[in-house]
Amino acid sequence: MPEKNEYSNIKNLKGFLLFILLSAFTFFLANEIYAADDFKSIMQLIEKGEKEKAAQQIDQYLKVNPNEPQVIFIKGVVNAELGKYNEAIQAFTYLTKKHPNLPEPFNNLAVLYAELGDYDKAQQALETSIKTNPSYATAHINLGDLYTKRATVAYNKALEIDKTNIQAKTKLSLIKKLFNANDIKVSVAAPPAATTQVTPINTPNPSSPVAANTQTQKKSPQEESNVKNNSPNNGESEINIFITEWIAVWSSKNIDNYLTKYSPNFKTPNGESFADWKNSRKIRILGKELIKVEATDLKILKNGENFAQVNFKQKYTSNNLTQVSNKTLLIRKENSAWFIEQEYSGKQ
Amino acid sequence: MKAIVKRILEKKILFFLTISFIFHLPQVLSEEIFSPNKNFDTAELKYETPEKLLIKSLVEISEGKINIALETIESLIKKTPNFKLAYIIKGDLLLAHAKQINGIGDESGIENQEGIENFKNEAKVRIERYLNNITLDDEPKIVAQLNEKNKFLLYIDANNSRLYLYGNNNGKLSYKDDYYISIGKNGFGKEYHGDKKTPVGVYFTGKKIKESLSDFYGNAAYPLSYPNEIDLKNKRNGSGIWIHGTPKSTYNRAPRASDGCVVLSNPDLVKLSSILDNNQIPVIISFRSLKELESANKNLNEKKLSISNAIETWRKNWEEQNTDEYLNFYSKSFFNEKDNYSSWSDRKRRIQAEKVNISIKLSEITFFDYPNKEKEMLLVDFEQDYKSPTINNKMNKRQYWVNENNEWRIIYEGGS
Repeated sequence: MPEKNEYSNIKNLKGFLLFILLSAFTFFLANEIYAADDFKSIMQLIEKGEKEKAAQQIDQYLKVNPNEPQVIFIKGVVNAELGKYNEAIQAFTYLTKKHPNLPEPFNNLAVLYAELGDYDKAQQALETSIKTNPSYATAHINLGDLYTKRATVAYNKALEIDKTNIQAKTKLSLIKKLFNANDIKVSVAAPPAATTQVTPINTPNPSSPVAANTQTQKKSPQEESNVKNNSPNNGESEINIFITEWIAVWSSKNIDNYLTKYSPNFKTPNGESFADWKNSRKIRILGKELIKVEATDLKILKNGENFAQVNFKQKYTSNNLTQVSNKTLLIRKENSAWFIEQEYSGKQ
Repeated sequence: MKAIVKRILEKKILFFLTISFIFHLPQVLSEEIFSPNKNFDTAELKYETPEKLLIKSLVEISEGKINIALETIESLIKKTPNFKLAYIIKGDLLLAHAKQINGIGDESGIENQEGIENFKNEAKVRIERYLNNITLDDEPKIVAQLNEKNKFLLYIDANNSRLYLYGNNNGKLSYKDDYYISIGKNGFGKEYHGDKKTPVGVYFTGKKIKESLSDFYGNAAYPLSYPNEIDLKNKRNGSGIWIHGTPKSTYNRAPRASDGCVVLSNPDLVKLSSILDNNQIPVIISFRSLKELESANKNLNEKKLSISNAIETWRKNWEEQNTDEYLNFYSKSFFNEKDNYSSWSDRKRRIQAEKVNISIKLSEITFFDYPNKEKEMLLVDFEQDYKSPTINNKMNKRQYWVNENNEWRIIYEGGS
């Protein structure tokens, strides 16, 4: 763990030249260039996804040039992505103290605090970054998301679903580069479904979000086996058709056909009988003047020939309500037709 | 360069949107909750019961004080961590910073729409209580007479999920307290076993149930005397209608949640227990609000007097054995366990033909408005002291009286 004074004198501001490009920030001026190659190689390692190596090189680099804000910033980002939150927080905190006018370190601090569940500190950091830069859009978006996250926590408490439901997901943006005109934003909690990020092997994702390291959800056996069957095959288009039909009959309030999409073994949400559930669906669906259901980000995870988990983002619109949720269907093939066995949703 | 300009513009727009969202909430929520011509008495809120803190936060929302409202809600949650509606309001207050909120819980993403409806209804009935322009300290317009033994009355406004507790102040009802309650999932007007409705009528509480009950019933349970004589006559069935508390996991249940029982929050039930432990507390379960009673019983005192007079005239005619006048007090639809009108009147004529000297004294007379859609109805209880040369009989009697063309007549009479 670096000492605070490790970054204590400002001398080398090298790699900055790589980033200054279109930036309006002018108070850091480069005065040395010999470290540029080192910095470049760090960035290349990051791009290749070799974050551990990059972290080592960053530490080496900072031993020689302890005060370069870019590199300290990158150190924070890399550590955050490696799940080393304490070190990441230390790096960003250092930057916020040394350069209180820069909004990005505050923003990233907020993202990390939010990840750790410390919403008060997260909010404080975002508000500070907005105070100094009122038009800093990312912080505004993140502040909105932070409120959304806190709201979800409150709502879940009201419904006692905090234990049973999929963890509420933040989508706070971690700023990847300081002073970067392209302002690359990466959603922190990108995994749309628990299945995509469960194992480290399954992460050839360059913009791998911080949250991937903190997913503490229980893995079901199905989820583990899904990883292997993740490539598209013929069965998938069949499932695609099934989902499309299901959405079509739902949207058109074709209640009879809608209900045929469910297996007699369907696990009803409140444990009621299948007949009772069908009845309540009938009342619910026919009671609406208008229903519009859209599914995006469809992910099919097959487990064997006759079983699959389908995840997608569901946008449901009725006369008085629009809601977006992450939907999961567990479907089974019987006598060459697919049926829904379970249906549940996570909060958006 | 274009890209930069575009980005700056976007930032400006986002900033503007963020600000406008913050100011959007009060208007929208307050429109839902507070209609403009209703006045709110903030003096009500000086006592910090959980409900009053909730209402306070909603008032603050309506005044645009979002952050203060959030503080109020958070202090409420700290005080009552199982008050679920508070979490919904908190969620809305937080979410209002990020997006437009159209109504309580609407943007919560909660799929269970019934759940959201329940929260909306709960918020509505809780707020209505404070907006209904009723001065609770005034005598309520409930046609009811208590006595020295019956010192308390519970009035349940089933439509608005409210229970009012009244004491007896020299023959007038005086307000003591009121509580949010839950009734049957399917509302009120119980007809048969399993219809998940709360009965409408006048009932009496029984002894506290001693058997250890599951947490579901909360701190205590008191049975109600459903089905009563009127229910049995109308072939209503079912049983086990209780007043009880709430499981620990929640401060309260939705306005319509039970299988027919009347459910209170545990802290409220504990407050009521000292009274319910006295046994035989009359409970009027009505479809009428206090407000509706105000217009129905404008001449409350005259009405009560006419009832007292009717009872006394009936007694006098019986004592004097003016058989025609006496029988004139009985409705043609009279019933009890063994008689209808003709068998009753035949028997009475036979007995009174002998003109034996009798004395009849009534004491501890109570009467209660019996909520009834067609005709005004009363439940009348008293102790009857009957003396004749051969019989000396003291008994508790129950009668139901109905208003037939502005004449009070008895449709039921029996021992109780």
